Amino acid sequence: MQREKLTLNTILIFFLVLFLVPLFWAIRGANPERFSVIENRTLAEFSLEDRLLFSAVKQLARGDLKSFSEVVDTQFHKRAFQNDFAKAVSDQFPLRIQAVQASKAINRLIISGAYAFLPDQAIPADMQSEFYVTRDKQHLLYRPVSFTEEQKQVIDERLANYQYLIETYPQINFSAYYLERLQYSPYHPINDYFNDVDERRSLTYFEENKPDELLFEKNMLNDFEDHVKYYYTSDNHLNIRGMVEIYNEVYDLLKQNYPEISDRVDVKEYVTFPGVQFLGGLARITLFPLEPELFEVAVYDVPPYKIIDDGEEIIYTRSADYWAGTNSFDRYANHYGDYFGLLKSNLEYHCDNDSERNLLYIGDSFSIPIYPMIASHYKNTHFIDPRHDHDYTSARYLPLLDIDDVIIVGDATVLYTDITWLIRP
Amino acid sequence: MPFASIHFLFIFLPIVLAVYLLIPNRLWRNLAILVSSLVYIAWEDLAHLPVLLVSVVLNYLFGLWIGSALEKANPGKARKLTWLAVLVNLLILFFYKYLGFFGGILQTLSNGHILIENRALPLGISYFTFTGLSYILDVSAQVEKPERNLLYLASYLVMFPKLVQGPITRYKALREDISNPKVSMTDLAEGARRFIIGLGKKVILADSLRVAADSVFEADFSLMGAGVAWFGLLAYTLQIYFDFAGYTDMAIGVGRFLGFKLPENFNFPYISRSISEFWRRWHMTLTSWFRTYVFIPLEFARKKEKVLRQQSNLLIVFLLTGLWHGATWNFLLWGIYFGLVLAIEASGLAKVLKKLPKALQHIYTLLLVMLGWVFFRITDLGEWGGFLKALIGANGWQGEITLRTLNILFYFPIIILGVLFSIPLLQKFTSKAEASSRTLGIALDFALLGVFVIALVYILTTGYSSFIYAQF
Repeated sequence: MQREKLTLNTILIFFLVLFLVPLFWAIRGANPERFSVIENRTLAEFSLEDRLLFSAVKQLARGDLKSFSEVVDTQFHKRAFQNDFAKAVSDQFPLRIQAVQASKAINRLIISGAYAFLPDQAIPADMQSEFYVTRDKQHLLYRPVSFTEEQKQVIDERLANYQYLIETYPQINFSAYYLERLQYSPYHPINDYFNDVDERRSLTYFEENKPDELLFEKNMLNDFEDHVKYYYTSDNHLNIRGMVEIYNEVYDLLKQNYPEISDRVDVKEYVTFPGVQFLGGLARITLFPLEPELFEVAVYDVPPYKIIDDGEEIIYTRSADYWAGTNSFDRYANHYGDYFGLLKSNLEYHCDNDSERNLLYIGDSFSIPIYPMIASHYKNTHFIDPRHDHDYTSARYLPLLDIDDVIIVGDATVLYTDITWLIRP
Repeated sequence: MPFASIHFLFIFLPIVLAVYLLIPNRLWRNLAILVSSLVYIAWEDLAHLPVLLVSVVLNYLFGLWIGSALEKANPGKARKLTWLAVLVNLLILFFYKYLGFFGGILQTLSNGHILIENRALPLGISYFTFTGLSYILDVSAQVEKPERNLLYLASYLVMFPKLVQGPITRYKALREDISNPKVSMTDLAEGARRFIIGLGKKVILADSLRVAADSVFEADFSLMGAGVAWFGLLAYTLQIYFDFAGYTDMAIGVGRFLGFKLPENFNFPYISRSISEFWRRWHMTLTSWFRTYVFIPLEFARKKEKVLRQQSNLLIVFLLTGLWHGATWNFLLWGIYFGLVLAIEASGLAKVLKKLPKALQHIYTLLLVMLGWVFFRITDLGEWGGFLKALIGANGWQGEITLRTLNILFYFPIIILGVLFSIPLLQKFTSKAEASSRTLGIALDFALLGVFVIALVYILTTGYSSFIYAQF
């Protein structure tokens, strides 16, 4: 009897948990958690929608059947309310991130168990994403990319597009700069386990078939150590040293069509900020407990410039916060986005220099850290990400903005394997 | 509102429990069950709530009318009313579940002149129709007295723990509990244990295995080696068991919270040594329903027929079982497949099997069950051949698609865990441990609480969404 009583009490902790959580919500009331730094997103809250039920009942009581039925249809029948509520309940759960970290830790144990006797040099970093971690737990990696017949067709389409642009705008110089990422290279540690891995085959195909008039340069990895040297350990981007190297090579490429280009921008020094540690996008997704790295930036001088977004001058980055020491010190904070700037579909740099030339620069978030350096050589520079600028067409930009040079900078997706990067006529 | 969701666990369930336990009056408790069940249904499927309510009222009225006819010694009228009630119940089911299927056949036969679209299914329609039918047929057979209290019958028919996926109950099993709902501390404790076990089966095992199985079944079978195909099939075999058995455990657990003892639905089906034994251990309440209301009446009605009577009756029952699972060809053929196997077993194979070593009996059963899951899982009949070819090694042991390329190699330990929990080994161990030592009993409860926490953190992880390109 005593045993039964004691055992009963033990399992009844379950009910205690069931009742404590709603009690927590009730006590916290109007002060919910609003932003998740790790996920870099706004959290759902128990908001006005929660009260729609009462509003519907009130409308019914007033005899306003039309409004009542509208609320019932959109909010309840079509489940908008239920979905929002379920999201809020999950997002506002006490210790949610800690719980997610715990589940990821359990999953890592399972993964380690499964790979314990296998020779793989990199293993999955979690069960949800497709990211891998090296066995020494130092680097988070993408999985190797395949090269397929479908991709060949996309490359053909992109090549035809380049040809069209060159023929349509003979007065404009077109150039492309390829930066090799590990997942397209022969140096990914688990290439051998995947069929049809790219291993530069897509690049070879592109190079063999590209129009002769398209100036082309590339930055290739020489080994895995190059990746270690130039990429963040837990983020998809190149680190600042890698990007400065890219800048130097892009500068050389631009100079081929623009001999009078102003002098190269030299980095005066590389600095880190006290207390600022960096865990990037791959760490945020996988929550893999990687050692954070120092967040390094480059110091250089460029002529004064204005940044225009949608016709208005803006302060694009929050770099000033870092120099003032008022930035976030959370290791999961988006330091890359905060310091260098978040990707925008269309930014204009108007630089106070002697240049009379305008540049259209097509690239992704990798290029953001070198925007000011590139822009310093042109009168106006337009930075475009066609994925996000749905109005973007070459007809709209090239003649109207008096563009002299067009350069497209990025990895395989940016240059040739992804149709969303197509420069629409 | 799935049982394994945060809003069910921490909003709906605590409110229902608090209200239910604070109400001392049995009538009010029934009302609490009814209201909470209607809220549960409305949350998921507001549009079809009236269908359910109409079905409840019709079954209530038919029950009374049939009972009245029987009381007045008018069996003819009772029989006609019974047929009418069965027809009405089946018509509702047919309208929502099968009209689209048969409409599709008509469309094909009429070269597209007849167009009938599929309809959205009301929540739990197959279960509440069968529950209603069993009530009507039991009243008609005088196994059951008609329920005069609409509140009692309504709360029985729509009871949220069992509404969506069963178990399918007979009214006599719950009648006493419904008329006098009582909850003891033991009910709460046993319910909590059962609920947590179910939650663990569903969230930790089934949901993980689902990812592995889906990856395999959604891949290109022509590039798949036998190793991956068997891995995927094993993952699905375990997934479907833990998903359904986990739900049943949770339903039984919630039922206990409210003082109801819902019937068991699974009894380690994968340890069966024949297909007929498998069906006595798998979805037991459905098998029992078909045995009681279809097979036995068929056997009785055709008792004068001597040739292949049982075999053909089995085939009919399992054709209906297949159709009950879904209005698609693959379910129909899956049912016929089991009907045929059972007919063959009934024709003498069962006797032969019994003479074989036990291991061979297990292998025979598991292989046939897993083959059945291929038909069950792959809805496009044209894909069956490709997968079966992969299974028998037509593309070699290791094809182009591997566990690494599908990124599911790490589910291997979960499959091993699944196999362990699908046999009664651990259950025997825990029962012995509980009986032998007080400390072990308490330790097992703490282990269950640990399972609850793990399941909870897994549920919360599905809501975690950090996007790499959210800002770039």
